[in-house]
Amino acid sequence: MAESIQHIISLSSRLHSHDFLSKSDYDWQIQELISILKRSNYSLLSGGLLTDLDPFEHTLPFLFALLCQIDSVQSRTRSALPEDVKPGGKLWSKTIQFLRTLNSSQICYVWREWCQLVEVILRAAENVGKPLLAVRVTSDAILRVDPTASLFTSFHPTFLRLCLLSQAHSYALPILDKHISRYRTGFELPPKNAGGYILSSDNYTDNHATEATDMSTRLTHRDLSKYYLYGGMIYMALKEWDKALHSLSIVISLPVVNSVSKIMVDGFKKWVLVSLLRHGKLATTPKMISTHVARAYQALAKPYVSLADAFEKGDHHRLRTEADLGKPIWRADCNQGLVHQIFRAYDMFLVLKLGSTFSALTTGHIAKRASSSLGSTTSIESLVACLVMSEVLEAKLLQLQRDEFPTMLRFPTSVRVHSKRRDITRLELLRKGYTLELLARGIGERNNEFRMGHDNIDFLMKCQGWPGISGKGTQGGFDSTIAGVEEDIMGDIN
Amino acid sequence: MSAPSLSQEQLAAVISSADTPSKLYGTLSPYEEEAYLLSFQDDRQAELLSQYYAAYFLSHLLTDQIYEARALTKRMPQDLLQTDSSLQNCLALLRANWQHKHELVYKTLRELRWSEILKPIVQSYDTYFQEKTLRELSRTYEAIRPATAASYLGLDPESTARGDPATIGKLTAHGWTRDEQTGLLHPKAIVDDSEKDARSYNELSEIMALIGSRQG
Amino acid sequence: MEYLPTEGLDMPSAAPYLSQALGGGTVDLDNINGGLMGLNVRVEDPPKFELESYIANYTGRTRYNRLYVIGTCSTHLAVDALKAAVAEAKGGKDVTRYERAVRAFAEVVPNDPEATLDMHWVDHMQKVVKAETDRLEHELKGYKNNLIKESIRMGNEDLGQHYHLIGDLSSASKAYSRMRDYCTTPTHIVSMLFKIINVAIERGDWLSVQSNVHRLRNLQSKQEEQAKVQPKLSAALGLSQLHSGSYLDAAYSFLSTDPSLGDSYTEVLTSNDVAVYGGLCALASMNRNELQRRVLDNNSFRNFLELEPQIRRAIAFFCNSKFRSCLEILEAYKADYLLDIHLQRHVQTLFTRIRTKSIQQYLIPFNRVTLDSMSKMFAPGTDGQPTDLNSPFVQELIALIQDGTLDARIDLEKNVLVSKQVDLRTEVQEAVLDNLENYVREAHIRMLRSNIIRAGLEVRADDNTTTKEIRGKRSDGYGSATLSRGPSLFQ
Repeated sequence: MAESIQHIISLSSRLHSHDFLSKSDYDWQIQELISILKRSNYSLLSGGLLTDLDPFEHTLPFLFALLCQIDSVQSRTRSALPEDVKPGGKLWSKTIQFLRTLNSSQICYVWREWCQLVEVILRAAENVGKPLLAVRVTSDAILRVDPTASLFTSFHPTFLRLCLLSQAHSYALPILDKHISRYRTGFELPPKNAGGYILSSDNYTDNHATEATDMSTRLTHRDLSKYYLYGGMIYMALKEWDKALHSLSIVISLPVVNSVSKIMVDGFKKWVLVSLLRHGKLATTPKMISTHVARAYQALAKPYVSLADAFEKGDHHRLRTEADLGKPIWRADCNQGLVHQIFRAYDMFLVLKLGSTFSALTTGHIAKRASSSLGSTTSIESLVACLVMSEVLEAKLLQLQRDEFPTMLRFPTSVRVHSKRRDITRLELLRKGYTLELLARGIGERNNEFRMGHDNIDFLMKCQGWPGISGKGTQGGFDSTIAGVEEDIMGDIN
Repeated sequence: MSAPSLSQEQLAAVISSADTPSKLYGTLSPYEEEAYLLSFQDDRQAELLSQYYAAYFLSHLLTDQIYEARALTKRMPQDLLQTDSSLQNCLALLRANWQHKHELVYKTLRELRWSEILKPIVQSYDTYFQEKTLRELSRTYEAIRPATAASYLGLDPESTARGDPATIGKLTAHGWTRDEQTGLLHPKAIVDDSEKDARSYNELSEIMALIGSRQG
Repeated sequence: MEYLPTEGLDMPSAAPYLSQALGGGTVDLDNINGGLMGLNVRVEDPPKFELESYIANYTGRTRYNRLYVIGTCSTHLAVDALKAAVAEAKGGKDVTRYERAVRAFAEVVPNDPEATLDMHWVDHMQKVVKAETDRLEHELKGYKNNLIKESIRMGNEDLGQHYHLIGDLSSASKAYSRMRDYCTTPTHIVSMLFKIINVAIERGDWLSVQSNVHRLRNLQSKQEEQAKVQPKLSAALGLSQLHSGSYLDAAYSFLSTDPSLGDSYTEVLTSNDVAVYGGLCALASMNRNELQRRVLDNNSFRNFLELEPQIRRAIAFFCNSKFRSCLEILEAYKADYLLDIHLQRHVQTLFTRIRTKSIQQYLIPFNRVTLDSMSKMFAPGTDGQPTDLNSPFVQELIALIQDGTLDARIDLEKNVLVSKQVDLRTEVQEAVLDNLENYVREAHIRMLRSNIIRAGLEVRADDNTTTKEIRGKRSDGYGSATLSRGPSLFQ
């Protein structure tokens, strides 16, 4: 047995000289090591290894030993989360140590074991009510293993939930800001290349494609919808309304076989509120949503829709009434906080809209126009000042000598005055431009991967094809959106 | 962890050595888990914890992360938050900030009792907040009454109204002028330089080209 | 005050009013036939025309209808007009309109002997009418048995005429329509169609007017025949377009009416009416250039305009940008127009449009205009604070800006109206950015979607236990609960 450990360790250390190994040799050796590790038993992968081995040098043996120990403790104590695994426990600190120092290039060969370990950690932290302890270390480790964070795994939703629970919202951003584009199941073909929204720079996908992909078969649509709902909620907490809206748009436009899920309806409710907060009106729903789903939303989220209606119509009194009437509903849906913010947003959009009708007016005028909702001229002035100071509104305030005179509010006569905004626009354009380029490449590859030439689509359409995808829906959709957008853009220029 | 573990000496060293707010935030941030573990292991560490969290909280404000600062107040050990005066000060500061009550912010910073170790950060936040507000005010107002300006900037209202050079020196340094007749202050917008314009312009045309090329 | 979306200066905007066409038609039916005033118009100001000479221009049933409208709407002419209406009704065979006229008259002058129903006349007339109806129906049956086409046509025509006279308009229209199969010459067809059109105008069935006008137009007939019917046709078409709210089309129809119309169509309208209707519709829907070219320089329409010089003056003022004078003339004649049976319900809309258009045209050359000078132009007589935020004129401007009619903003500091300036480059870039953002978002969602479907992860209804589990977890306060607690503390 001892020589077996020696063997494992020597194999493992040989991997580090992989500069001298060809790619296939490296692959072959690592596969051999994994198969030995998989065959090993508890006695071989004893707890001693965890103290002896360095997690970076011997990532794979360490991982297997760790899992083995966790497993043995679990079976010994007959509990899913024994004390040793919980924060402060022996195995907990080992795991943390492992996560901090692991060698990421080897992890992708043992994707399943990796996911298991992360899940154990996350669950342990949540179980003892100290989610914060696991959040940052896992977030760092996940990113190191999968720098593009484009592969969806079963621990993603758990991870986000921990972030929400621990109120450590910004720690989720490194992962959340990446766009997940791949989901694996047992029956799919291994992807030929790193596809997706963000292209991975290395070929690591090749590697773990070779690993059995049965891991993700446990994924369900709930994991997905939870992930994006949690994501939306994290953005909401950070008041990144745009991203929150996008995340929620994904939730509400998830492909549906027969009926919508409760999570989607919850998502829709939040979507309504967030789009009011962001745009001051209901945004247009994603076009992918089929009519029966849209109808279900309208029926199931009636109070929200009518609240939005009152908001859009600028009926402050009705907005109040709707919000008061719906109180039990908001509470039950955990949306009180958002509804509460609606009122400030209402005032804000009221002021913002003034800019299109007036080029200068006093706070007294605003008070007269806005009837009851804004209060005195002083409070209007501080609201306006606050909006201008936080760069939401472009305007200038002009106080007069004596404070009983209302303050004059001047809107810029033309955009030209604010060179700053133009710069922001340009920078934003640049950023989007790059995203677009990546996206366009991604789409091209996706099309290849799906073998979605027009001929193929025609063929597939003839023989029923995939459930839910009609050739028009995807391929045609991409193409027509590209064409549509670009025509618009070019039209504007000409 | 390679960094020395959390202690009052270490904390003091970090606070005095950090030259930029983001650096301060960067050094304090990794200690959070340790503090978190401490919080339920050892009650005697209350003072250290209170100082750490207060410093960490202030470093959030210094780097304009008010939402995260608020989240931090929820992550702190709640018993400690309720009883500790430094953390209560933080909470008051957060509330004033959140509600855009500038006067209250200065009041919290200047009149509440902060522990010695935190004073440098509190002081630098005072300066930071004042300068930030000054920039924002310059953008917002074309003419402003001294009283309003004083309340936004935490200046002494009377000497501001008098136009005392010692008080408004900072303002005039930013190009503000004072109308002797009306006593009104006329801020001057602090413009950010836009030198990147030419470069971004070129890149823009590339994007247009990209969009164009995708059309076919 | 209500502002309709101005239709700019181009033609295709007639479409939105198509839906109104139907509605307008049916309301009109009530208006003229049932005597229920759709609009409760009360005209206090004395009109400029003289009732007797005015009504003398008309013949046929429209005399009564016009008198009745004037009588019920004008406070000045109520007595005279209704008295004349009673007399007019008594001279005919229509019992219901007699009763209606007497009822209306009784409301104004209860003590006048004319204000009580002449029951004797009513009974007598009802008998006469009944006998006549029976006779004509009987005769028609006889003709039908004999299968003589011409007789059947004439029988139907007589019956239609009878029904028309006694005010049974739908039966009249039916009887006339039955003539169709028995018409043998184009002249017959023309006369039949005109009869249908006239009944339809009286019924307010504007769709039928339009379709029959087109039918008439498409008839292959001789040049001179065409020339003879053209004026009436154009006038009838114009009326129907006016009522369906397509003012520009109506203007074109009236403008193309040949002056040979003269007093040949007095059972419907006079040449004066053509001038007024056409002029107002044109003012409300054309720009200055078009008005000059199509109205003032229009030789044939000049003949009409000479009959109503004030319309000509108003248009000329508008063309010369003397909007105030133009509006003043219209205002002075408002009472007349409000008492016109066809114009009544459109006066408000037409005036509003003319006014809005004036404001628009007035602003074109300016970068900024003081509210003072504008209110002098468009809201004379409002003393005190014409430029106050709550003054009706400023409110009007605000409404116009908000509905996008005016591309300007109000400066309440200097009290000027400033036209909007745009930075085209920034605007284009912002538009591109918007498009890009939307595109990126949508593409991302679509890509996710295709991947999800490929991985077989569509949302599907499954066993309840798992769903419950999720619900349970969520309502434990995870997730959004964290959001809902906070803001109340701070806001």
